[in-house]
Amino acid sequence: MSTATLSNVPFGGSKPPAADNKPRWERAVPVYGVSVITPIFLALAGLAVLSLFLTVYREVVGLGPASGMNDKFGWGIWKTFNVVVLTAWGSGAFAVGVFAWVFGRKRLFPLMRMALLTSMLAYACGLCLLGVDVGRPWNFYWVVLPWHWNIHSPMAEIAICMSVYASIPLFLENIPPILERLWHVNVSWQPAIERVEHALHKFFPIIAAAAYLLPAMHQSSLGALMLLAGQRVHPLWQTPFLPLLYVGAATFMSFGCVAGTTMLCCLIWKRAMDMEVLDEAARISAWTIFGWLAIRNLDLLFRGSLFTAFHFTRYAGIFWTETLLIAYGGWLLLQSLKTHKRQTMFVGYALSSLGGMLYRFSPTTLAYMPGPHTMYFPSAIEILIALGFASIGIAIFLVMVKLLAILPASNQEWRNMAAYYKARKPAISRNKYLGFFGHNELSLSDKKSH
Amino acid sequence: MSKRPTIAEHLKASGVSRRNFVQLCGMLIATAPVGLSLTSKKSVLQVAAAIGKIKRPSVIWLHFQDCTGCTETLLRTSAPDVAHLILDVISLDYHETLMAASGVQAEAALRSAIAENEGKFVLVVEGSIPMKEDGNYMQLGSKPAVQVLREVAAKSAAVIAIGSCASWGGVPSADPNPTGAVGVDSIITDKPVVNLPGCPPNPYNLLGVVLEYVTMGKLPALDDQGRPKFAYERVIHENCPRRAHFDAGRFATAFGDEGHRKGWCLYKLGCKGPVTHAACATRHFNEIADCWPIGAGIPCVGCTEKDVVWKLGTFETVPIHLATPPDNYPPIYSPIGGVSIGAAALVGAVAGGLGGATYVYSQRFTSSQEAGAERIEAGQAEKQLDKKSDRKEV
Repeated sequence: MSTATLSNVPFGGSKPPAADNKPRWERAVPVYGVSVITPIFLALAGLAVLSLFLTVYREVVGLGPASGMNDKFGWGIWKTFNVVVLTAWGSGAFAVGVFAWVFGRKRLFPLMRMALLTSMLAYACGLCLLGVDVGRPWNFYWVVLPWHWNIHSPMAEIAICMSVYASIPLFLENIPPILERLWHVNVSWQPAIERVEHALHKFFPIIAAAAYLLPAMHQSSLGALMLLAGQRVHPLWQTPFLPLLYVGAATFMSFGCVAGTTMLCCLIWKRAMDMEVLDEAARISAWTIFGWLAIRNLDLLFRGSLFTAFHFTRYAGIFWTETLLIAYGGWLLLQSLKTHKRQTMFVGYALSSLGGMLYRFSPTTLAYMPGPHTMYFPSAIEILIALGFASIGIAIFLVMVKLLAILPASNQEWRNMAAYYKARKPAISRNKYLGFFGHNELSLSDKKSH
Repeated sequence: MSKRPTIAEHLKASGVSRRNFVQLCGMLIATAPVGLSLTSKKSVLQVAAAIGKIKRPSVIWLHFQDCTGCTETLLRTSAPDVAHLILDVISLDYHETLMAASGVQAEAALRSAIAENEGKFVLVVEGSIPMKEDGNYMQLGSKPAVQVLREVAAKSAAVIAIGSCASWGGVPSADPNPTGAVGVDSIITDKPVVNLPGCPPNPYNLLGVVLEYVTMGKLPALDDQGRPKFAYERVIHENCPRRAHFDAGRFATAFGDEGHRKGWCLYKLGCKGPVTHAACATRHFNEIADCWPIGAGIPCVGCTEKDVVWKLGTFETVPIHLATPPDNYPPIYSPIGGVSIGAAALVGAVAGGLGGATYVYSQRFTSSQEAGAERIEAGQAEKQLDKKSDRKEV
């Protein structure tokens, strides 16, 4: 840790500098001075366009020729990766939100905007791909006729909770950064924006309650779905605790996604990192991981399935890989709390998220045993479509953090931004558009305070 | 006329506990057909309240040219069982198969049952009525069957024709129809006649109609052939458990072949499900799951349809109104699955790329801290510049 270097830097800002002169995340600041169109963005957009063409191909020729799915394996990577894994990584709005607002871990507040944005993008892309995954799209119109729904299916709970969650609470929770941006685009819009904001604030308690209830319901019913698969899921994964374990895995995976992505963004765009916030997230994540591992292994022990982990089989190999990945990731996170090394923390997040992904792949694909003489491996088209839909989310994310105040930063960073725009774009800083970043400092900080 | 007790009073008098009565109502709400005002209540207690107020309907059951199969199926109902049904819920005052009396005693019983509830009883007819040779192919107490029917029906409140024979002639009316057998509704035209075709029909259809009639005072909605819509509105094909096999094109083509053993669609074996209006697919017989012809691997013969069962060949396929999915939709393959080289390479490339990128970026974390600090210093410098320029402007 190089606090020594940092401690030499005097901190300015409206608030007095912290006693230890460590950087503090005090507000959200867009990434500035960087073009929206970057090579990475173009690559992601290219992949997205390719995947859309492949989607058309898939709709024309059908699921059989386009994907590796078959009658025994009806769940390909579109469901397993883009829905089951990505919504777990994208549960930040739920997991970080519950810890920040329900359990009162207020230090996590600076991560909330990242959590909300990543959640919305993960859910939206997953849901869109779920539409592509529908085997007989000509029957899809039944979805809009609720009186025909089979409400006794856990799939219905997932479908209803996911779509309602993504389209109402998640969407509304992501409105404030957009309003803040619009506030500075045109002065005449400001009264209307204020009214909208006021109305939103009125409803936020209800929205927030829904935003915690719905994902908890659908994450656990994802587990319940695999519970229904019965003996087709290997005993190392099949347990009545699956719903709880799914929620737990979503919790530490989403912490990994939110905190890891924030760290990566700070690294790439050279932001100072608030180690207090990151430590808090790492602590929660690590203890969630160890609690989760304890529940999982005690359950295996009491059900008498743990011994199958010591057979020399593929399933035992998968079990140990994911357990060790998650456990080592958790251990690294704990280590990083002592050594204050970001590298350790980042690798800890990466490994635990990878292990969580493996765990989410297991009941649906890796440890799913529908019978002899069948196997599933995604086709190239399937993989490209899966990656393409994920890259749509990442591309939108890259645009969003540059346009909207999402990434956490210190007051100083915000001043730097104001100075940057004043120095480099004086013409627009005087009129509406860049007032957002620049000259109207007081009103922006006022707005931030509520 | 003697005052008939309500079902609640009757049960109390015969020492049946409230608990048992509510249990019976629970069975009714669970098994009676949906779509009836009686059983579409929110709770068992509401059904109990509605049924408790009913005066037990008097039912007179006449047999004509039949095989007694409809009675047999009624006897095999287990929830509510036949004892509950005929003792507690309805008052079955005359039934040739179920009563002990015979000969003169039986005739007297019929006369007294009619006299007691004249104009109020429900007449259930089982079997077809011979019309050739002045109806003399069948006689009851020295009277032709048609005359008995006319006499009893004239004093009834409503007539229910149970089974295909009573509905439109059934087996006895099959070509060349030697006795000139016809259904009830071609003889009785001045009374409401409910047809419950089927060979045999599901007993819950009868129970549903009777209870609906005595509670609401009217018969359930009927289709153009006099069949109650709650049971006969849809064709078997719509709710068939084997429908997915039909849609996927998996057909049994011979009895005992692979498809037949695996429970595939029986359409090509002559199943008449696509044109047969009945609720068999959703309400199986005698409360046993899969206890119905298609469930047992036998194609539907279309026993509820006058124009199907004795008119089409047993193995003749019926035209499909809407064959789904159309041919221009993509096929649904069921390959075994495998790994293509391209896909494996792609997975390797993506995993390697993401893993490598994660490693490379994780290595940069230490140095980035200084970078962050530098930036803050630069910001400080810019701020200084800013202040200077502001002053100049002023």
